[in-house]
Amino acid sequence: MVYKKTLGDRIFDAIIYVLVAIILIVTLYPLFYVFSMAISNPVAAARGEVWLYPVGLDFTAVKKVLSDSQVLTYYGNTIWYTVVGTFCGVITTALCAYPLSRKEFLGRNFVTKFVMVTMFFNGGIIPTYIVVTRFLHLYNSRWAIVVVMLTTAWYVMITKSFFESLPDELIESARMDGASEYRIFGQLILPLSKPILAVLTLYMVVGHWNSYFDAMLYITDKSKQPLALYIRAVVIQNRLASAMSETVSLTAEEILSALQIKYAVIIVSVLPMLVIYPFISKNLEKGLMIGAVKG
Amino acid sequence: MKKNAKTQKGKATRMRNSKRLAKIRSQIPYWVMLLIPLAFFLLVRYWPMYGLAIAFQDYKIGDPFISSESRWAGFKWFQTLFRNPNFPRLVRNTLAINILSILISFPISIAFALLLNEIRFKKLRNLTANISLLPYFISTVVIVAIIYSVFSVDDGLVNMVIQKLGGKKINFLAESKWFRPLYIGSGIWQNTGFNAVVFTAAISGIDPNLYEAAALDGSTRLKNIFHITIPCILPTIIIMLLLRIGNIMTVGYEKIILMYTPSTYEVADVLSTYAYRAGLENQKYSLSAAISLINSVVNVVLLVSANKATKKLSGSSLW
Repeated sequence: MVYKKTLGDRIFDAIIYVLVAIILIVTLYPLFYVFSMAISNPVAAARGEVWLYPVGLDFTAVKKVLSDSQVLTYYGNTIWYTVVGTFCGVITTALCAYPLSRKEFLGRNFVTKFVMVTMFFNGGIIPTYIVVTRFLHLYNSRWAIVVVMLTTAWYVMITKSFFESLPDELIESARMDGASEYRIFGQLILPLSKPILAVLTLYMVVGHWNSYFDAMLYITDKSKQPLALYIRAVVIQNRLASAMSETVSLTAEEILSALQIKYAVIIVSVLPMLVIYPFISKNLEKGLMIGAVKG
Repeated sequence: MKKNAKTQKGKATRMRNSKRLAKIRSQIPYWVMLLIPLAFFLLVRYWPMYGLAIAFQDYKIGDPFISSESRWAGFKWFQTLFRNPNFPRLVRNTLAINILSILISFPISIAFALLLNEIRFKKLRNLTANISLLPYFISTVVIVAIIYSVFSVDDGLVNMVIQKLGGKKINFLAESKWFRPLYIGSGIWQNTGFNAVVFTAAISGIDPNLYEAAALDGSTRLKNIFHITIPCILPTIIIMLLLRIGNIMTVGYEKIILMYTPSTYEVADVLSTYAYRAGLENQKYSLSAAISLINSVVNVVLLVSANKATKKLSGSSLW
């Protein structure tokens, strides 16, 4: 497209760039502010002198958060939930989607409907809570989180439509060569399905890393709780002392930096996301499209 | 002759039988693969649905969902709920929070997609799109934590600025009039970039010839937005809007539970959060299940109507 640049065009462009600048500032400023607060001099932070860039670098708060052994436990738990939950989730989703994508599978329609129903109707908080804690006996078990968040009908459906888009001839010829259905799935379909597996992984990693609700319901044992519940206790419910482990007692100086501890906790939890974000953002939009528009 | 025919018939049935056997055998791998997924859906999704039966009982924790000893209570809990003076408030808040979110955030995400499309430098366009997606990957807990820190009455940034300007401190988190602006505003901050992805994709599918023809006719870019871009992505807009409406009953309670305080229940308490408190804080399991049941039924009705409407308008359905 070649436009002749008229005065009107220039004004239009100028307005666009101003708007873009405003949007970028609004998006990034809160994160930048939190970051600056966490690493500024405690006195400056408490007096409200920090509003954009860090004033008088001081990493005490971040160090304190990272040196608290309990924070590391929470951190480790979140990593455990994310890795194990995503691994089990992706496998289960693929195992469910593959038979549903094959026309030769006689139970296809029935099972598809069976899965779809769960998209529209669910038992709600309490019946699910009773099933998980009383009948499956998963109260305070790490597996409660993995099992409850295993997969969703939506993930199964987008994976199924990806499998359906693979050429039938491939599977036919593999079958002619005498490959079993398991081998076709494991050695032919899965390697060809890296895009959808990547999308599933992305969704599930983000979902697990960010989830707090199921952990709040099922995990009361602090040694198994994820980082999100620690943030909730420290920042939202303002229970700093009780959430920190007993060994850390607060002196006057440390109370001054209590304000910063909140910001430091936030930074410590979002940093991994911010670090990997530039790497995933390249292919992000393409991946999100697969999820956003079905089929 | 006769004997011969018989053996031939026998052969045929045997062939048919072995064919049938092979067919059955070919199905086995599929069911083996489905073993774990189906167990999951059955135990974690269907069993709780069956458990909704406790909405019609005086359920005590530890009882099986349905047994000969279940104490059936009919519609007692539904009546309790409808007679609760707070019930109108719950319905009002559920609808108000969601409808306000849709009315405000939906047009903003469309406008953002249109804006992205008008950025001429490809690098800047991609950068803006990527940065706008970033908040989507930050957890609800962290977002609410940032709100709590930045809007804190003691040492939050906003109140410090207000004080410096000579104003009076505002307790944003305890005053009910600030709940919805904070809730919806933070939702826009977090989700606009993500919600715009669908529209960006729809815009990129528009035939560029349309714009060239318009340029020859002397149309301006501003006019093109209203005469070409928006009409072209209208089907996508309608589908997304209907999808969103179909989800009115389910969205957002995890964030509300983090954000509200008893002093803001007036404007923040919705059906799902009430179900949560009734069940897990007050141990009224049957009442909580009754609310979930109502919620689910309304949701199904909305989704099915949304799907019908989509089918009629665009000829394609959501499922």
